[in-house]
Amino acid sequence: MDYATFYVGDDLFGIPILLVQEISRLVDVFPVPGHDPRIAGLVNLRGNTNGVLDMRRCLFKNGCPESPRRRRKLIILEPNGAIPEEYRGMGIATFRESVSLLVDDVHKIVALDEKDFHPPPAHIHDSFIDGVIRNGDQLVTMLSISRLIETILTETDTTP
Amino acid sequence: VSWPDCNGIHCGEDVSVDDFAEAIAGFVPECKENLALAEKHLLDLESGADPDKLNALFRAVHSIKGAAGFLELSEMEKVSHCAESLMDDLRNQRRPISREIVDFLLQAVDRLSAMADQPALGKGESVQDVLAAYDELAGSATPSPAKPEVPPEPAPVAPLPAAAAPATSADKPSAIPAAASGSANPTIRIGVDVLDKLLNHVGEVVLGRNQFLNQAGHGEAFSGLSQSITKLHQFVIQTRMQPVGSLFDRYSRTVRDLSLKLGKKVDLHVEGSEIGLDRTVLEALADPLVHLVRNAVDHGIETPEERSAKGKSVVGNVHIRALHESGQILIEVEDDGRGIDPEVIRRKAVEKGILRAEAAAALGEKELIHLIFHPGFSTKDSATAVSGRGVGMDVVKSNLEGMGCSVEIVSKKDGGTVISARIPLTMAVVNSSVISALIINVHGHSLAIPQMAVSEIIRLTPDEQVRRIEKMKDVEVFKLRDKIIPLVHLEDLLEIPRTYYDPFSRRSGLDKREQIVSPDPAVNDRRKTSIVFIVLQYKQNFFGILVDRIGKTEEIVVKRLPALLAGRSVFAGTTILGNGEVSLILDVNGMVEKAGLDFLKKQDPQFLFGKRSVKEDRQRIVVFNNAEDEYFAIPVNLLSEVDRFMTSEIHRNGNREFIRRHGESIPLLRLDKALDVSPCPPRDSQIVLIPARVSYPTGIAANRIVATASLTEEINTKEANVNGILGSIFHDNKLVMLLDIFTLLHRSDPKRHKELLEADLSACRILVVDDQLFFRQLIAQYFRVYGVKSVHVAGDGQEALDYLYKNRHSVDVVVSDIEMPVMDGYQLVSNVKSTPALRDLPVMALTSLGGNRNVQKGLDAGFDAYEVKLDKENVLKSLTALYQKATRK
Repeated sequence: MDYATFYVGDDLFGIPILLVQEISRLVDVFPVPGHDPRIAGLVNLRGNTNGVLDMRRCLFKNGCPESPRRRRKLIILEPNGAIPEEYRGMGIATFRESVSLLVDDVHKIVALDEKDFHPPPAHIHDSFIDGVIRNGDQLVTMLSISRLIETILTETDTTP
Repeated sequence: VSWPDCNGIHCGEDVSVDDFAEAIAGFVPECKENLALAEKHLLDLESGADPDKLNALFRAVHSIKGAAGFLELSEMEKVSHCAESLMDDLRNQRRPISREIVDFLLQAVDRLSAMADQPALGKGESVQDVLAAYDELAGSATPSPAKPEVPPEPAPVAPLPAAAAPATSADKPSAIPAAASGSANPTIRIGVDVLDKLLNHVGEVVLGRNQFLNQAGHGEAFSGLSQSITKLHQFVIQTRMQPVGSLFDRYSRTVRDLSLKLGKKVDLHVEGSEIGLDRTVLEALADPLVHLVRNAVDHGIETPEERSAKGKSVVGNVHIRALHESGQILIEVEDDGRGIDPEVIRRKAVEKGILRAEAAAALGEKELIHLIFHPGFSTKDSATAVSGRGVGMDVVKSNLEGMGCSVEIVSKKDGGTVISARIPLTMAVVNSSVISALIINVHGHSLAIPQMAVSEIIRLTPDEQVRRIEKMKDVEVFKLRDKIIPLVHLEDLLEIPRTYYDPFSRRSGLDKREQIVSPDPAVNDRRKTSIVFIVLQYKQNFFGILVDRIGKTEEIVVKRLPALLAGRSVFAGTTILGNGEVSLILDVNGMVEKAGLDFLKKQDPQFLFGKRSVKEDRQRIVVFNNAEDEYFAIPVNLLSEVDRFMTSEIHRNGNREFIRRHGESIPLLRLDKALDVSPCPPRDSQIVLIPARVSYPTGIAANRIVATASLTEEINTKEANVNGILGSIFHDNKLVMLLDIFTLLHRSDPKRHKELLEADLSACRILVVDDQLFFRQLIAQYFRVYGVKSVHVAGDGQEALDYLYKNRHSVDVVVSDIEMPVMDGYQLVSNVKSTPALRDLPVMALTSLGGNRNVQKGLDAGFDAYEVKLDKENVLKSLTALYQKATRK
C-alpha cells in the first residue's frame, strides 16, 4: 500500500495515502483561544474552516527539538465519508470531518510492504501508534489518525 | 378528492392532494431507511439479544407505524403494529427470542418494504395472512393488536412488489411519481449535496466581496456587482430556508384525528410560524415533533370528564411554538394536561427495574421527570395504538440531541408539561447564511457575538467603575439601572489568562488584578483605563461579559464549528471575517453554562407554564406628599391622570374649589379637609391626581409626587379608618398612608358619590382569593371598611378550596381573582360548582382581565358575577346582590 510520509521533528511518520486529500503550504493558522495546545487552530480552506492538529504537540508530549526543517506544511485529510468502506473496515479511517495536520515537512509517497511491519516497541504506549515499517535504512512510524483524534477528544491535555 | 394517478388512495376532505403527496414523498424514503435498519438489527438479533439493538429495532418499526397511521395507510399500520407488539415483548423479556419470531419479523419487514415500493403503498391489500401468522405466534397470552377486527376486505389486489415498484435509487424522494405531475409551477429536484455546494460557493463569493471591500474600498463599478452578490446569496439561502409554519401546520390534522379517536377535546395553538429554519433541520424536527404532539394529546391532555372533575376547562390546549431566544431558536410543545407526577415515575422506575428502590428514593423531582426519556419507560398503564409504549420520548430525545439540540422538560402535576428543544445557531441558520454580529477582541483573539443576543455595550471610566461595580463574595456585579447583573470575564470562559487593553500602547497586557475595583481607594485613583463590557440577554436575564475591545458590527457568514471543538460549548460556530481572519462565534447559551450562571433556578417557574403572554402585574403605587413630611400613596391603576396646575387657576364657589380639565371644571378635594392631616404649604403650582373609574370626576390636590414604587411589603392596617385610609406602609424609611379613594370621595361629597350599601353587610362572611398580597389586603380592607366583619383570605384557588371544604358554613360569598398560580379562578369556580355541598355558594370574579370576551368566559366558567379591579361601586353592588340572593334562600 502507498503511504504518505512526513517529518515531525526528525522522525518520519506515515499514514495511508488514501487518507490524504491534499497537501498545502502553510497558510495562516488562527489560534483557538485557550484550548488544548494539540489543536493549533483553524485555517480557512477555500471558505471552509478546518481544524489543525499540531503534530509536534500531538506526538511528543515533552516537546520535540526544534526541527531544522523550515518547510512546515499542512496535510489536509479526507473526511471518513470519502474513504471507501472496505478500507474503513480495515481500520483505515480519519474523522467524521476533514482535519489538517501541521507537520514539519512532507517527505514522499512510498510503497511499503506490510510484511516489513513491526508492532510498536514495548515502551511505546500511545494507542495511536500502530507500528513501525522499515523502508530501506529508515524507520517509518505508522500512525492511526482515527485513534489520535479520539485521544485528543477524550483526554484533555493540560500542559501549557 | 381522489388522487389522479393512484387508484385506491382517497384522501380526507380536509387534506389537499398536495399535502398528502408531500407527506407521502417524505414517508417512503424514511420508511425504507427504517426498514433497512430494522432488517439489519433483526439479523443481528439471532446471534444474541442486545437491549440497545432491541430498542433501536423497536423504534424503527414504531416510527413506521406512527407515520402509516397518520397517512391512513391502515394495512401498513396493521403489519407494523403486529411486529411492534412482538418486539415489545422481546424487549421486555416477556418472551424469549426464537427462530419463529425472527422469521415472522423478517417477513413483516419484507412485507412492509414491498408495500412501500407500491404506488398505492399497500392500500387495499389483504394483510390477513400476516395477522393470522401473528395471532398464531402471539397465542392468547399476549394482548392482540389494537385493531384486530379487520374490515371486510376489498377484492384483494395481488401484491406486485416488483412490477409496481418504481425504480428506487438511493436518491431521496424519487419514489413518488405523482408528486411532480400536474403542477402549474414546474419544479425540479436537486440533491441536497448540490445545494450545499452551491451555498458554500456563494458564501465564499460573499466573503471575497467583503474582503475586497475591506482592501479596495467602495468603487462605483463594484457596488452594482456587490448588490447582485447580496441578492444571489439571499436567493440561494432561500432555497434552503422554510418557515416553521409549514411543519407546524401538519400537526393540526394529527391533533384533530387523535383527539377524535381518543374522545378528547383539544385546541392546537401554533405560534411563531413565520420563523425560518433550514429545510434539513425542519425535516429532522418533523419526526420528534409528531411524537411530542401525539404524546401531549394522548398522555398529557385528560379526558373531558377528568378535566372537568379537576376544574379545568374541558377543552385541553396544546401549543406548538417557535421563538427566537439569544440568537437561538427554541421549539416548544406545551400542553395544559395532567403533567407528570414524579411519584408515579418513581414507582414505575422501580417496578420496571430501571432503578433500584434506594436510588429512586434519592432522586429529586427534576431528575425523576427526566426519567421519561429512558428507553422503554411509559407511565400510561396500557399501551395504545396511538403513541404506544413509551417509545416516544427516548427516540425524541436522541433524535433531537443527534441534531445538536438540547432538550428540556418542565412538568407539573395537573399543571401541564412543556418540552423545549433549543436549536443551536449553526443548525438553525443555514450553513453559510449571513447574520449580523458584533466583533470583539480579547487577548488578541477576534470573536463574534450574534447581534441578536447583544442588549447593550457599556464603557466605564475608572470612577464609574468604583460607583457601579460591586463585589459579592468572589464575583462581581454591575448595577444596571434597577437590575443587578453578574459580570463575567470572557477570558475565564475561554480558559485563558485575564487581560486588559492599554489604549496608549494599543496592546493587551496580562491583568493581575483580582477584581476590577480595588478595596484600596488609592489604587483606584491611579487607574486610568476604562473597562468595556457587553450586556447579553439570555431568556429574561442579563449578564455582562468583559472584553478588551469592541470592534465593529459585521455581516458574517456562519460556518459550522469544527467537530474537534465540539466539546467547547462557548463556541457556536466559526466565520471568516472581512480581513480574512478565521474567527469563532460565541454561543450565549454555552457562555451561561460555562460561567455557571444559574438563571433557571432563580427564574419564576410560572414563566414556564403558559403564562408567557400574561404581563407581570406587580402593584405599583404613586407616592406623594401634601405637607412636606406627610406621605400618601394611591395605586397607579386607580388613577386616570396626574397633572400640575397653577394655584391661580383655581375657581372658588362657596367652600368648593374647581379647576378646568379638558374643558370641564372638576371639583378639587383637599386631603387636609377630608382627613386629619396637615395642609399643603402655599405654592404657585400644585399637582392634581384624578382617580379612574369614578362616576363623578374629582381631583385630589397635593404638593408633589415623591416616587412611584412597587408595593411588595405588607400593609399595616392598624392605621386604617373609615375616613379613607386603607393602611400604612414604609417606603424609603418614610411612613406612607395608603388612601382609599372611594371612601374619601364619598365622604367629601356624599350626594354625588353615593354609598351603595343597601343591605347590611356586617353579617356577610367573605372569602377573598387573590395571589397578590396587595390586592388581598386591599380588597379585604375595603370590605371591612364597609362593615364586613368576617373576611378570610386565600392565596390561590387550591388554598381557597381547601378552606371551603373545611369551613363550608362560615363563608357566604367567595370573591376570587382569575390569574393565579396552582389553581386559577376558572378552576376554582368549576370545582366549587361541581361540589354538591358548595354548589350554592356564590362566587364573584374580581380580576384585572376586562373586556366582553373575558367576562363571557368567566360567566361561562360558572362565576355568578364578574367585576373588574377595582371598580368598587360595582363590586359592592354585586356583592350585595349575591349576598342577598344567598341569604334569601
